[in-house]
Amino acid sequence: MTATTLDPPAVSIQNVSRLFRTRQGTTQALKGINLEIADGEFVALLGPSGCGKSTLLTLIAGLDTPSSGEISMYGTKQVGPNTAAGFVFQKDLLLDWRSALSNVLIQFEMRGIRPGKAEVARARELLAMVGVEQFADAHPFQMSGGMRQRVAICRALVHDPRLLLMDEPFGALDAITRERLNFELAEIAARSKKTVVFVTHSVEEAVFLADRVIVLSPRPGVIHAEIVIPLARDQRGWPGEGTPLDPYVRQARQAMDAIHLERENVA
Amino acid sequence: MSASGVLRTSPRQLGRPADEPKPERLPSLWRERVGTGLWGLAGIVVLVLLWQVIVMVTNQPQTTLPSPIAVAQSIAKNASLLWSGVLVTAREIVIGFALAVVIGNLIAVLLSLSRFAERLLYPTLVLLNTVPKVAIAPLIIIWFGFGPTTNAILTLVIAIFPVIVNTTLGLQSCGDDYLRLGKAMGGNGLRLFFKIRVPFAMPSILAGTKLAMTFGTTGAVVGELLAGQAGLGYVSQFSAGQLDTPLTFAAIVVLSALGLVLFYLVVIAEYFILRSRQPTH
Ligand SMILES: Nc1ncnc2c1ncn2[C@@H]1O[C@H](COP(=O)(O)OP(=O)(O)OP(=O)(O)O)[C@@H](O)[C@H]1O
Ligand SMILES: [Mg+2]
Repeated sequence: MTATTLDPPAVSIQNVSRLFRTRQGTTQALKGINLEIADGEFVALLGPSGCGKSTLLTLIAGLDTPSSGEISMYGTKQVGPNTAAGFVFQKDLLLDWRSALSNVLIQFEMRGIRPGKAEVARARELLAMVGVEQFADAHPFQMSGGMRQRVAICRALVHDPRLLLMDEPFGALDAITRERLNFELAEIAARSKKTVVFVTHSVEEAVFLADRVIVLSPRPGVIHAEIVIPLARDQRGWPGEGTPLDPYVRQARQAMDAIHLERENVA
Repeated sequence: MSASGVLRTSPRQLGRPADEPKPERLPSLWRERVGTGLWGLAGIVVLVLLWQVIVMVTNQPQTTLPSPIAVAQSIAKNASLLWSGVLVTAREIVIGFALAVVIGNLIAVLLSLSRFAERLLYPTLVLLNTVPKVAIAPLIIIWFGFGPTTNAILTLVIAIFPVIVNTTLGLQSCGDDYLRLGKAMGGNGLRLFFKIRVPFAMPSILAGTKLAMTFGTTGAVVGELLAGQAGLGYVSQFSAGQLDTPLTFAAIVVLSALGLVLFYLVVIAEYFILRSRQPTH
């Protein structure tokens, strides 16, 4: 969070816009986004559906190029896919013909590494951590949506990336599992000092996890508000009334309400 | 990656609901894909019995409709003739089919490498696929003469189209999402192709292969009927000419059995390749 001025930021987004041209017309998914994310920082992207959260994350991953503006990673301009990151997509994108374990190991195979004992052990450890170890040899169609998503999370973590990009990774989970995994993620991120960009619809989730919550508003996607949460991440409790995180939840919710009001007035 | 991963010492094992069931057994694709053949066999038995009854009741002459018993006797009597026919026909089918699968898949892969080539050639191939290809048999005979080579080539020509069309379709079936996932993981062209696109295409490739086998069998037999000097198609042709109808039937029965065996070999291969996936129906 408190990066020294000498360190280049992990992610630097400068005046980035993204237009989608389709037969139905042009959509301005993002407009003039400026954002710097320090090494080791946890940033949550919060906003209503269609405000460009996934688009921004895809741009950071280098899987898409901005229509204008520039994105840099640790001081070097992004060209092409950022393969050093770990990406959890909004859909689990598991491969049907592979077991859960093998779906995690494809991360190595795509990098030209033949998974050996160490890699398999590492993958199994992660599967155990998210609670699906007994499904290691099962295939995706035998798993529930939540289990599949947990396997996808393991796949994004298995190569121990410095930058973790997560697009609503817990969206398909029940409330209890979701809370548990949030605690687990908070611990992983804090202990391994990973830089995380985390997309979510949930105000509580964003406030619980992040050093900074960026609230985006749609059409065009712009940064609407920024909420800094200066509490140590690994010592937080789940936000609720009267808890230390409560004021930040209120702040974030107000920002979200303002966006909804604006939209209703436009409509 | 570091062996002493930061997650190694995790004290909490969170996110594990207590009452998660054990994985269910894989649904028996074997029973579904291959086992249904047993019911098919039972159906054949019923049909043969019906056939026998009809012959007995209507009292048809042997030259018009021989009884199953007469056909069985003919098979026994002409066993060596039929067996040499099986060898000739099977060879034609297998050679033509194998070439169709190899060349057809190669063409489909080349097409999938170039968007331009695919756009240019694929519609033509689909169009050609719908043409009744046995119609070109006389042309093949003109070019390659009479004999097993012509029949194998006819098999190849007829069988190659479903292979090209289905494999091309299959290679297109992989969603962009998955390719992006592969790229995010550092995958290069070759790895994306073999670890993502080809497995995605596999069901379609195998569907094409099955069609190639059925089409190919027809190809070889048409060739033998028109221009054969050996093979089961030839046996059925000349025996009909001599009004030895039981032998004609015998040849057809053996040919059907051969076709069935070859087709089921492909089905079994399909079973082993796809068995770890969700059954599609
Ligand atoms: N490939 C695309 N082609 C055309 N338009 C697109 C494309 N991807 C996104 N858009 C548009 O850009 C806007 C932002 O989409 P995006 O997927 O980033 O939203 P989001 O904030 O992730 O929404 P959600 O919370 O529902 O996932 C939407 O209006 C969407 O229609
Ligand atoms: Mg999204």
